[in-house]
Amino acid sequence: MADKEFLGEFEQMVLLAILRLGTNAYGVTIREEIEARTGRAVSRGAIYITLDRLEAKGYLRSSLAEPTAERGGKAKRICRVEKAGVAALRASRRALVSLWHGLGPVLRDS
Amino acid sequence: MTGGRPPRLAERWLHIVLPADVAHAFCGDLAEEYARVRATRRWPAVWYWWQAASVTTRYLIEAISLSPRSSRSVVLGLTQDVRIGARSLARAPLSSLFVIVTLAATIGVNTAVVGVIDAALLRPFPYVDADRLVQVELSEPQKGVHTIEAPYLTFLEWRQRTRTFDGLAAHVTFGLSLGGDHAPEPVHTTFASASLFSMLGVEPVLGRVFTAAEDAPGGDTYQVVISHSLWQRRFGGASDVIGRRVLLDMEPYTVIGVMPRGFGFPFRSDAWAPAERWSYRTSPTLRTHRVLARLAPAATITQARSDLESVSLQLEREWPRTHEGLRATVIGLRDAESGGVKPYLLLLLGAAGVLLLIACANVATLMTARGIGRVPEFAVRRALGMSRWRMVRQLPVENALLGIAAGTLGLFAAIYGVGMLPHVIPVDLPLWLEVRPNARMLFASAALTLMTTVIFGFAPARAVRRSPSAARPATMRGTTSMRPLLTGGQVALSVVLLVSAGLLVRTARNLNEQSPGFRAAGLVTAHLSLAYDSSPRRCPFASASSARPLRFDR
Repeated sequence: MADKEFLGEFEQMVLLAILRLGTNAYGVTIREEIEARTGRAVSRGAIYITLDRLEAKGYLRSSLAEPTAERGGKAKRICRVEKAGVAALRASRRALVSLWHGLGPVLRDS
Repeated sequence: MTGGRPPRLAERWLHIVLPADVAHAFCGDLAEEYARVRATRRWPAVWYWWQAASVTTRYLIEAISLSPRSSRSVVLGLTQDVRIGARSLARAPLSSLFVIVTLAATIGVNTAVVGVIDAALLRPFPYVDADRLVQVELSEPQKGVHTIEAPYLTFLEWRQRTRTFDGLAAHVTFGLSLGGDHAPEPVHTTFASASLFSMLGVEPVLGRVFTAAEDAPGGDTYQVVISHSLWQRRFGGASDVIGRRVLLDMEPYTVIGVMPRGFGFPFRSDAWAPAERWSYRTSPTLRTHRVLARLAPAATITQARSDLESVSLQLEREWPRTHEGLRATVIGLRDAESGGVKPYLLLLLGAAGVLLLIACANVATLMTARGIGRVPEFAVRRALGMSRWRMVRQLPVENALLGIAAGTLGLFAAIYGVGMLPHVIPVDLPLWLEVRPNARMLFASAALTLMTTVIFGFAPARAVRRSPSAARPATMRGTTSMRPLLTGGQVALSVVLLVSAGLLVRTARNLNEQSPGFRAAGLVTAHLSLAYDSSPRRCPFASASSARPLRFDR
């Protein structure tokens, strides 16, 4: 339990967005999904760095799709969440739920 | 015409800086979004550059945070230098502001001048093989007369008899009144030979252009090709515009094609109709049409000149009454369009450069004085253990901060001001000239910033480098030796600039004061666009004004 590494807030958002998008998860759609769901502006650089980081940790895997003319002959980097990524998301959620537990009266929306 | 392609340079930059697979996918993402951005934003290229800069910075920060401790400490040291530098500049806000504004103004002016020069002299014409395009002009060497226009009938003879051209096209532009379903509006209409479009290598995005058969005596000349902007403005970009009838000066034309965005040959034309349509209004001596030609693959300009010379002699022999003394000559399209303004623009660039050097000298004097004032501060910091290297690099870091601030401000000033420059400089720029911010201006601005930072930073850096660990009067002696040099340089450059400016103003005044051949005092001109109509159906105002010249009464 002591060496367990929890996901950062933005890492969770990226992984959840990829899960929501299914087979169409790549830079543009991931950013749009997070912006649409959270109302928060997200920089393209942040998305790419987080994808690199999560891939290095083994939480996701990316592969290049077929290049298209619309993208200037360049391929999409399609991302897929690995089992370890899903497990990390579950662990982060459990930890947060446990911390939230019992704080309803204090944190209830006024 | 760059089309919808993202800035190549920014793409190349991303491929250099980012890991290969990331750069590939990221450039693809940006290319995908770029198409949308182009439709909604004013300067999509600026957006693209911003994204490229932002992702590069993030990757750099990420690389630093993951790097070994030694390199991180160098970066942290530099960050500290930047922080200290910014604090030190903020302590003397007025002089910092003076430096930034002075340099920004001169960098802005220089960048804007580079923008105009780029548009007038460097940017290639957006036509296929543009360096093979020439203009055929007419001169009368004996009378010392030279005109860029020629009679339409003479053009027809040139087209038939010359052998050194792949094609010749005549064109003449008028402001016609476009009528039809909506309110009438004036449109620049060019009556051009059918070969014009193929010579320029431009194809319509919709429909077709008129054919040689239509642009011939007896052909159906009531055909019009419209510009992309007219298509959008007047017809809302409707795809069924082909075949519609429009009225040009009360005459019915059929729309047969739409040209691509940005095409407005010869400068800002909105419609093109067959040259033959207008030919009946010409005479054998009326010089109305400009003639564009494309050199044959093996032909040179010299060969084309001698070809036209022999044709001119033939015409003179056959029709001495209309062609006596007339000679045709050839000039490259680039020279024809902007050759005349080249020396003026280079002079302007020279003046802007001198202005920049004066600003640098000014700033250098100020910064040296500041450097001298800070010698005690550096002495204390050295006594507290700061290395000599750290002390020496502190001032360049501050100079770089000032330079970057001035360069950025100057670039924005140039981007906003470059469109105005053609209206304020005393040079008659070609009408087709479209000056807009571009990557070359960005580079010019960056290079100027670097150059000015080095130039104005040299003197103060030298002053502090020479200072020993404690503040001593000797330091002052070492630095003050630079002052006469700077002041002398400043005065010399100012004199050069003043004399050049004086000469320029005098030349401009002399040109303005040259007699136009009539008494211009008290005369005004007015431009009235009316439909060409030879019948007595003219409106009362037009009839009255053509019968009696307009005049202002005192």
